[in-house]
Amino acid sequence: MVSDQGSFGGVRTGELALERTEVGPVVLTISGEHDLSTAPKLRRQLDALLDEGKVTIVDLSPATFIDSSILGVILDGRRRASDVGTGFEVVQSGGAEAVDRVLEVTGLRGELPVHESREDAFTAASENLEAPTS
Amino acid sequence: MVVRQAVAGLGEALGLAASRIADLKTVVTEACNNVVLHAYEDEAGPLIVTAEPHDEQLEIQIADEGQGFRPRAGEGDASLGLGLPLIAALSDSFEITGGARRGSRTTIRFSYSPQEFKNNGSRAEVPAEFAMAITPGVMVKPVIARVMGALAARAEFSVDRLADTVLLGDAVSASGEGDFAEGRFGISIRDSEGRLGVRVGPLVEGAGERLISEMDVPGAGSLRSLASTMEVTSGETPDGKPAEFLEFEVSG
Repeated sequence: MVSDQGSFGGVRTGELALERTEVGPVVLTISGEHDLSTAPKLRRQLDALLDEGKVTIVDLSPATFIDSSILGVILDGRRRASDVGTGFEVVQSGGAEAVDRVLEVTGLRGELPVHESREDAFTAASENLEAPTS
Repeated sequence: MVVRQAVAGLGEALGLAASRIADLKTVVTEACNNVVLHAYEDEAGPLIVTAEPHDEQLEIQIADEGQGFRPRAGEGDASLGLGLPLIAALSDSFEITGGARRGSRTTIRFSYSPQEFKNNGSRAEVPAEFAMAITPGVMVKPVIARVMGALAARAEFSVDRLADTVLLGDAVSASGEGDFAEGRFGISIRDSEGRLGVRVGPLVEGAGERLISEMDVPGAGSLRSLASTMEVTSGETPDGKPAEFLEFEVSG
């Protein structure tokens, strides 16, 4: 696993970790607090994965705070994945209340959608690749 | 980030439930994002955060001296448009005033059931130098501890030095209302190349030396030794009256 700690995050909790799974997709785990200061790093990381055409799972479970700039990067990631024809799924399992609230209030939990387990996300990624909806 | 930690500390001091502190962090972050993204073109400028608890309602103002909020040409960020709905959904009410080249002010009202309600007021300027004035009382210690901890972490202090910095923050938080020339706890923290420069004041004459002497721990030396330098300096209040400041520097 490759871990990258945010340097401007204030409290040292804004981290990204990359995990290449045996079943194929790459999991990008977002932990700690993320906002405008860490959004560019997340964007670069997602861009690099999608440029390679990797099926990407974004795992928000260990995130304790995300703001609209992070949601924007995730939405852009989903759009880019669709453009390049690869899979892109989001998962959050037992996450922080601040992240829950942001996903609910913006309607993105259903819109993205946000899966409740990595297994669900892997399944959705492979199903969507077999039968793309757009 | 620093403002978010300060507001979270304020929320804790006011006894807000964890879910409301989460909402508070989100609305304040989104309002600050608007300033960071839209208020200033290329130059830096102040971001002023004021929080005042009223009866079961916290009023937060986020103000700037910039050009007013407007979409930037060519801005393709998908997050554009999510920030204000988040503020609207998670606060009781909010309004934005100001206009082109007049600065903007976002006022957010946020209800809560106070379990502990004592005091009011925090004011902050970011980013290179963080300055705030707080009415002395119950919220000083948690707010100062969080802000100093966040700035030390941002300056990539080691865990030990971060703990030392928070200890020094606690030590200066012990000052009383009578120590400050304007009746408000004033502190500015400058972050430069792995060192934090802290300036407490304006203080009344003699308060600086007294604060230093109170850092003595019987049998264990003085907390003063945690700082690389510490001195009392002469200066002025904003309206030109002579005052003194306690200044110290902590390195990571």
